[in-house]
Amino acid sequence: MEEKYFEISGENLKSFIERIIADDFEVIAPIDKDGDTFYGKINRFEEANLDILLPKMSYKEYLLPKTETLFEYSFSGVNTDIKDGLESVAGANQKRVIFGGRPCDAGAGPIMEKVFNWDFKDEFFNERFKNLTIVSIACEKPDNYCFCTEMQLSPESSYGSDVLLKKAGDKYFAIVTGEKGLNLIKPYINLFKEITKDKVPAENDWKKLFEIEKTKSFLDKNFEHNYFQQRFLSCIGCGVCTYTCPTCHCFDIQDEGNLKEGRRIRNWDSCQFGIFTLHTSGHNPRVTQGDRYRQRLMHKFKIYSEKFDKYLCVGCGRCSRNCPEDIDIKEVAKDLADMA
Amino acid sequence: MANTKTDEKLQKIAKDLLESGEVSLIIGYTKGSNSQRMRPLFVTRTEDADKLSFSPNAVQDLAVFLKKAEVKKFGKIGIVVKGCDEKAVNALIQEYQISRDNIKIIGVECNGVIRQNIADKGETNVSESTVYDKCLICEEHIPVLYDFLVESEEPKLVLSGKVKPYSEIARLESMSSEEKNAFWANEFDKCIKCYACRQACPLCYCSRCIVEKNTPQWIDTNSEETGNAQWNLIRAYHLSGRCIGCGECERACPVNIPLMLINEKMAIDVYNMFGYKSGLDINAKPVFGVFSENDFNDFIK
Repeated sequence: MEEKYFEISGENLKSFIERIIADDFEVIAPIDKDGDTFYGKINRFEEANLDILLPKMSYKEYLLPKTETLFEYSFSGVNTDIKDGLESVAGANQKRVIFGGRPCDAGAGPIMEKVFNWDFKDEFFNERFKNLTIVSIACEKPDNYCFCTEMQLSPESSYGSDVLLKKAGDKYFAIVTGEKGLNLIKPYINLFKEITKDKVPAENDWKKLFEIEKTKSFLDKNFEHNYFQQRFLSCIGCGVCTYTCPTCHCFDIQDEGNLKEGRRIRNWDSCQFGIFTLHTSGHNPRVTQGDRYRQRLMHKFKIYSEKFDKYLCVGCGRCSRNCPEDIDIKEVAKDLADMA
Repeated sequence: MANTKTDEKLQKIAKDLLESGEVSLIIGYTKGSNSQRMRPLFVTRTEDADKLSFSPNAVQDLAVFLKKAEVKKFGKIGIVVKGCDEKAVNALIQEYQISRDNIKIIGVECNGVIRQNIADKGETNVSESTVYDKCLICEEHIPVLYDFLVESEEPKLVLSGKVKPYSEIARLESMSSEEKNAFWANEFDKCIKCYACRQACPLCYCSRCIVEKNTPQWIDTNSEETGNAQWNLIRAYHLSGRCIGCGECERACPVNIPLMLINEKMAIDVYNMFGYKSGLDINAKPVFGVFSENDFNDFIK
């Protein structure tokens, strides 16, 4: 489907959200909670904080839950019952809308989709991803930690959004990128006014601070560079960068159970943990935190792009804002580009 | 930004220590990614000592780095510490993790550090409503142990008593068990098992944490009700009588679990039961490392 363009007043946007809530959609939006802002379910439009740049955590959990049951089993006598976890995932997100996220967060979905459909089709991820509807709002004022423009997106990019809203005074322009977005707004189409593409304001000329290709070309040649060991002495290996990242997707498969029943689950995992690469022999190819942070950089800015033509980073800057030791990935990526 | 007098004093001490060869590494603070942030700095060359700085944004407890293998390799280390952080150094010495002979303590007088989430939004004032709760109950604005002391240029923290530190503890104590369970179930539900609390803690130094032991698997790996509760409770007990209250676990937590309510409650209980506060005396035996005939034993029926 070709993109469609609409206009919607602020008042009608409110009606739209309240009507989809009334029609049993679960609307997830940035909400103020515990002194910060997190994504959470809203019951009324006003609960959404649309002024905040980004919630502290991404909404990755709606695509890849922090713990997901792959299958369950139980024994009775000589019989074993197995229940496929996929059954409980079927239809997940069908009536769920992420509202008020930003273009960076929206960009993460299609980037992650590539690895989840590479040599093996991850049905759990796919089932959640195909059903989730994303209504994002373009950023007007990115902060100093943002670098989506460097990461081939922009504060106004519609990549990954089903509907992208662009604020203009007290109304919004809505770019509907495909069927999913159109299906969401169709029952409420009287709240929207269709317009032609030329009525939508052109994108701002967002400036780049560095070229990510240069960062990559440094990484291509400098695996052993002492920058990594020195710069990441201050890394405590807490993994907050990876857990709050919208694109980090590593998981660990574990079994839990007893003599009668059990299950196989996958939990979020992080390359920043010392045991992530610990072999049963006792050998660990990534001994230092410098080795581990380098791995994160390599995966984001080199390895993934070589395999999937996309960098594994949307430039949201969460890893920098949330790092307890103030490691700023934008500054690091620029350092590397400068050294290339 | 220009150097303050505090910065100059820190830089001089660091230079002297590195030049004389008394230490091969100084761990301190330098200016961070925005004007309201500081970050750790590792100085091995005297010419880099000029980057050392201190401000009410120096929130990190640098003692956390003393447990890191990459840092331990440097041997003799100088470390910049606030009063709270210094207690972590003491506890590490008490628990034989580091030797007093290998550490030069550069104590900084601190009158409170601004909560990072509000500093990021532009808060620059140090006041009872902007600092961490730990600062409001702080009795070690000047560290209890130091080799060098850098006095503060900041005004003393004025406490009107209007802001009650850790006021949730009293509220929780007055709750029924069911209400307490509900409160913590709600908090632990947020946990994502990133273990940032553990990594940010200067006293969580086990080379293999119990959650990483899987023969048998003592702690459920899931990040659901059972796994989250097991993890948070076991960490609380492992820190009781040891936590020095730097609050780094709570600051690092990406989902804002009020971990210091647990730690502070544990510290209060340990003090009431054993008259012991952690990290005040390097010659004291850790409270759960000794047996005393005076210990209460009325729980044995």
